[in-house]
Amino acid sequence: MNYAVLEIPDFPLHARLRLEPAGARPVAIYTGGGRNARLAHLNAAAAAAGLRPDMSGVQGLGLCPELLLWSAHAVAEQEATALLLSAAWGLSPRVEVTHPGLCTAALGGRDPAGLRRDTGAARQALAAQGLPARIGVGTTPGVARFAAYHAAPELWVEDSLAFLAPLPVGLLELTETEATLFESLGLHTLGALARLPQASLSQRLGERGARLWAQAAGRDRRPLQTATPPALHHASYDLEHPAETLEPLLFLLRRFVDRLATEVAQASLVAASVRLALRLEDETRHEREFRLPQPTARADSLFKVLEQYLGALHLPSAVTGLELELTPAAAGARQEGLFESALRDPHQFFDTLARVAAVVGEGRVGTPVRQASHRPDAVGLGPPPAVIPDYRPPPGPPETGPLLRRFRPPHPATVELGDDTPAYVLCPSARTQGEVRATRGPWRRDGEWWGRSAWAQEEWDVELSPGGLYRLIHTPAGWFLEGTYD
Amino acid sequence: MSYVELHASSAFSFLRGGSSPETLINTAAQLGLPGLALCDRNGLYGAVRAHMAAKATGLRAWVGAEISLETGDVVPVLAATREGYQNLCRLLSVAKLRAPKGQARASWEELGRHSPGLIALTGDTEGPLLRAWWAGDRAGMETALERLSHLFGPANLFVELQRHRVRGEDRAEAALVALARKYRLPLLATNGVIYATREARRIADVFACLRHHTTLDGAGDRLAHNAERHLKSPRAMAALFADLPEAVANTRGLADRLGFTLGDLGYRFPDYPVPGGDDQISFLKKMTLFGAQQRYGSVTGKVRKQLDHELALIGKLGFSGYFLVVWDICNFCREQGILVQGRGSAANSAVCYSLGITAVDPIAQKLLFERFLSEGRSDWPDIDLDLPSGERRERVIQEVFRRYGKRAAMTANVITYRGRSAMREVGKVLGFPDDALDRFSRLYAGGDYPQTLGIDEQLKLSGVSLDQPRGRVLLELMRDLQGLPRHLGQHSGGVVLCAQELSDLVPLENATMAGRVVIEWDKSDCEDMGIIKVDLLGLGMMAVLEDSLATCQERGCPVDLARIPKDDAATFAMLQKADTIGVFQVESRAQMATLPILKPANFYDLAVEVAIIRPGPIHGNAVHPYLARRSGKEPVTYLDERAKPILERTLGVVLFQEQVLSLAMTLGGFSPGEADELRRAIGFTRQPERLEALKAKLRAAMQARSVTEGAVTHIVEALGSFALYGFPESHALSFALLAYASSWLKVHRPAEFYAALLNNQPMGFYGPATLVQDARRHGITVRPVCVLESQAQTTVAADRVLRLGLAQVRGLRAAGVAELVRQRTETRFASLADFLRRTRFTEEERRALASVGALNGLAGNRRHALWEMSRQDLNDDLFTGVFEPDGSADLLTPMPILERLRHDFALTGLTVGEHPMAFLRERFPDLWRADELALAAEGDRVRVGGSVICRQRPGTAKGVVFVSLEDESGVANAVVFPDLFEKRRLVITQHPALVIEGRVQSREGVIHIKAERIEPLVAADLPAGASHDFH
Repeated sequence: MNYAVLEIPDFPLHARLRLEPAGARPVAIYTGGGRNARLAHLNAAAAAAGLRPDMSGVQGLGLCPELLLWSAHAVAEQEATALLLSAAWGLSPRVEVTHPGLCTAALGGRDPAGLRRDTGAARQALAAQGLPARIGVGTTPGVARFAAYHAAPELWVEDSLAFLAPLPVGLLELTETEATLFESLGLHTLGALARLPQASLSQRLGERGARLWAQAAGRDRRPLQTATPPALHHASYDLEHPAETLEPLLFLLRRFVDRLATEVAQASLVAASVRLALRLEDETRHEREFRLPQPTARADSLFKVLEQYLGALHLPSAVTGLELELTPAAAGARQEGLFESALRDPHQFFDTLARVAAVVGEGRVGTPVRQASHRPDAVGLGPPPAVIPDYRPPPGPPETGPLLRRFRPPHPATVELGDDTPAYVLCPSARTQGEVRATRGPWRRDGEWWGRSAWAQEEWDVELSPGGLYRLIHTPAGWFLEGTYD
Repeated sequence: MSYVELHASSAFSFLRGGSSPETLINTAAQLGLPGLALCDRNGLYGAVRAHMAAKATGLRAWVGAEISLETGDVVPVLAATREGYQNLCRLLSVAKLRAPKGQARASWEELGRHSPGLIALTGDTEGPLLRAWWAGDRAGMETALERLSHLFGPANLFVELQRHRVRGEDRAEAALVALARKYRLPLLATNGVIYATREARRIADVFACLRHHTTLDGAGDRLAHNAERHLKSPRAMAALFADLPEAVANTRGLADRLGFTLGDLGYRFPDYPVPGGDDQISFLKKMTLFGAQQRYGSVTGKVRKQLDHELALIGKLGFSGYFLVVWDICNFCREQGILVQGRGSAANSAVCYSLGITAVDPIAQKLLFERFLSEGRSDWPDIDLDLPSGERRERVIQEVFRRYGKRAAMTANVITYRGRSAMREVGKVLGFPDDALDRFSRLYAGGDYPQTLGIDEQLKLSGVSLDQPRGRVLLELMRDLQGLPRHLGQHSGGVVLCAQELSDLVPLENATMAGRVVIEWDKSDCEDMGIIKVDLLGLGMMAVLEDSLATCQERGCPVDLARIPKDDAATFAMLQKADTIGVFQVESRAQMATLPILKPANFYDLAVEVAIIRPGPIHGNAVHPYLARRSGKEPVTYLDERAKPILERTLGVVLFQEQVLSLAMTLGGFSPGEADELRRAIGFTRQPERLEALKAKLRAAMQARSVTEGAVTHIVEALGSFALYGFPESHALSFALLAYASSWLKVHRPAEFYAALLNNQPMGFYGPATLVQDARRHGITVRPVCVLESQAQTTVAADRVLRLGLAQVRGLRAAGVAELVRQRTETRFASLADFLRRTRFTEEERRALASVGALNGLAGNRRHALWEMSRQDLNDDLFTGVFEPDGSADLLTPMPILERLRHDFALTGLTVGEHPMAFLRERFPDLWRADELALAAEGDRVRVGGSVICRQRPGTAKGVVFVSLEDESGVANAVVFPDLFEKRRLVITQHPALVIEGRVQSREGVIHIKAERIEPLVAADLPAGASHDFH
């Protein structure tokens, strides 16, 4: 036995379910888009509802309205592939990622008894991560692969020819043209293909034809494109729906930590620090780096750090995505950060910053950024810019007139009108009152009429008799003194 | 103080204005504005609508436009005189015709060249002055003002002031006022209106997002500051400009200078170039009498009298040139061997019949000329020509363009926002996910599917919750957007002709189709402006008839359509059996269900059959009374004894539009002019209030003439029904001619007829697969595509034998096919290698030919052909001539039947053999065959299955859906009631083959299954594409 193949059936489905469990709900992964969307992978509940692969998405929804119709998720698949690779490295150091969800390991020199023990362990490790694996072992990469396809959950093939002959030709991963050609020629099995002269196939499909024939006849030999262990231990994920509670976040983080810890451990390293970044619905980010007092590769310990932190964290809006990165270090050592020299204890510094945020509110730490809106004082917070940009005057004619000093928040005011124009203003909280000597306005602004945050206001500039120029606004909530002019 | 709004844009300023021209005018009237100048961006698209709405409300609508310049500036101009209007049209045409569709950019030089008769405003924030101001370029403002003053003259330039309550605009205004004072130019207050009311601002915001390809959330300061650009009353504008009263007063002064309105358009239809010594009417008389002799053999006194009567009226009304021009087009068609036939009320005219414009003899059919043309008529008569669709119709259109040059153009078709497009656009800007929008589009497919569910229910089922604020906003915006113009399309065949260059009357622009020029107005606008449109309509059946006749001629059994017997028993027997697949007009489900009951026995019966299954008679509840009276189940009675002469031919039932008008004249005392007004109102669906007013007038008139209340109500309701597409009798007769001719050909020349049908797809109700199955049931053998025998088109190989054409194979290029036929004509192909050597098909084309068995004559079977052709060294071998089969093909088994069927359907859309259901029958033993349904008793529960060949949900059927399933024995028809349809909507609309269980309903030999359960017919080897999309 020369090769083993580890395969996750319905890989896009299981990869995604691993990060977004659907419980008993029917789920289908579709391929193609728009009108060409077709169901490709179904979970058991979807199959039980009468759906079958190759139905259109709309047909599927017609039969099963509660169907969760998902697209394949590249990040989920990267995660699952990393786990699959880790498991395969347990069988051999020479492992190839042949296809998404399928790894081939060259087994030269392995004794069968030890191998059987290791394949079982690999399957168990993957199953623990929510990835059901099949393993096939055979004389060539192709035979091992077909064996994996038929394994339940393991298949060791002794007689390659007898095993291959009845298998469908579709297993060869044909191009659309090849599949159409073979289909139209009635070449439905590997046996039928192998019966043709190899030369006649290469005459028609070139080198590829010869290779297909070799696969069908169990004579494929090729060097593996061996994978190298990752240098970066990083995970990133965009959530399907923004997470407003902790549970789904912790679930995902646990999955990531498990995978990253396995990777780090497999490289005989430990994690010296953990960087967590959360992408929020209000398009801001929350980032935090944890320097571990004691570097470790234990998933439980790493997860504990995150869990404790998140348990006390209050975010301004729901989480739409997250990133996690472990910085590896040789056991017993850790690398200093480039800018850490000024910080005697960075851990404490970040803790202090977090405490400041906890006092003033998370949404109030950052660099103010003016928003493109007609809403007065529309400002958001962004991360500090890496470089301070050059000053550019705003477009339009140069501003003239006095500067406005805003009251934040505006002071409620009582206003008497005369001829629909402010005539007297009383604003105790600003210690201002008096008759209106002169007015300009009104100016009107409104916006966001399409949502809950609809707003509208009418603005007046008024000069009061005791002196002072003010901006007075009238909103659905009443009159306010919005600011004073210098 | 009086104020006139002289700068307003409607939704015809595409993706800018939020209200229709009619809404703007009506709102202006409510606000007490004396008039309004519509200045849409780069076009006069809404000018006619504004003009007509203003006419109805007693306002004035002035004409103007915002002109986009190459520099990015936008200058509003107003037409002061007809010269100015013509200049505006020319300027817009110039700017449009050199730009891609939907764009326009004029140069400053062109603006100046076309300035006579125009008055310019300095514009709003997109105008040259304020653009310079916002760029901080004070000198630029002055330069721009000097430039405009130079181009238009200081007397024709106004400095425009708009106050939208936006902070900072007062500073810009101060600069404008200072400049106006410096150059002694008048100030003009406008509100730069882009929507009628404050509320409509939301639509303008949606449009702004669509224009900037963003969402409302992402648009930020690209949206307006506020909702101030709505129409304001004179009082409000006076208050707004209280400090500058002259700016408001000047609007009245400027309005007084605007002497031009669309009432002074000055359109004239072109004269026909008559020979010397003749004028239009004398030449028309000559040609008519000559034609009458040809048509009638000899011109009897009765015919002569009728012709004299018609010609006198035509001459009096000045329409002679129009008849001659249409006659001339028909002559061109005849010279080119292109079938042509006038439709519509022209068939009432013996002159049209004599000139060969129409094919129905109005004297023999007792049709009234006054329905076509009467003295009281103000508009031009309507002559529409049916032509064979496709290339032949295009030839005629091109000929008209060649003859009339810049005096001809196509009419526009205004595409408006409808359910799905409104949902998609609004959903997009509100940030709804694509999957919800896709789902809505899929669930609620368009046109033929009137919905039984309310829009809110539809949204809910598409995954859009109305409980969230945006769901409610989506719903409201969709409603507001409905009916607003989205873009301009091209009318299918309406050509307008003009005595002078059309660009003097209306701006022209490029159509999407190369070489086509379109005017900015649609057919109703043209009608309102008195612009004559000749409809050159493509009719698939005309092409079928023409091709059938040509084949008959080639095969030595010529047929003269004019001389086929009109009382052919076999033809009527076929019609009575509803054996009408492929026949013109009477092949639909509803027609086929009526034919065995109506049992047409003569030509007029067929005209009734054509007319009766229409929304008009169906809504007017005319169908069942007519059928009951015809079969003697109900006595023939009349609404009023005075109505007997009008309704006698239709057994006392109102079926035709002419009858409604005659009743209005006889029972309501309407004059011919009033009846004509009624006819126009029926056809004019855009302003239903016009018809409503006339209905009230007629009701009162009939009541005054002692018509019973029941009869009055019936006639008035019939008027409402005919507004929903009733046929005029003359039109029904013209169509009946085509229906009869196609029926006769199906009976007597079936091979030629089916060949022509297959060669003119897509057309009609059924796809090629169904037509071939129908041909087989009529004893026609259809042979498959073969490279040794087939021509490009399907041909008649022998009596009752067809050979499918190579064009039936999808993906074959016409040039490759032509080369094949040419090579084969020179020397027959000796072998597969010879074929491959001498033809120029791509690998994919060769594979397609092999897959459908077209190479069997050279390779033995499909798989052998495919195998041999897949060799990569083929081209080398062909070149060196050493290509020889290597014998490996013998290792392949022949293709089984179901696989052959799959290839046939995939590549030709049909099979010439058994219907696929025949091969699946064993697997579904409980399914009834379509031809076995006659054996079932009323109320029996049955299950039928097959390919869906038709899904229909007519507007007249109250949400009922008709589904037709085809199997190897024929077609089974099912009726699906709305509740079941809504439950199984996606199954019914998305699956190509279905199993339907239900109870049999049989009436006079017409069998339906009332569906109770519907499942997809899922069989792995059922060929995909065996069914085609619904109509």
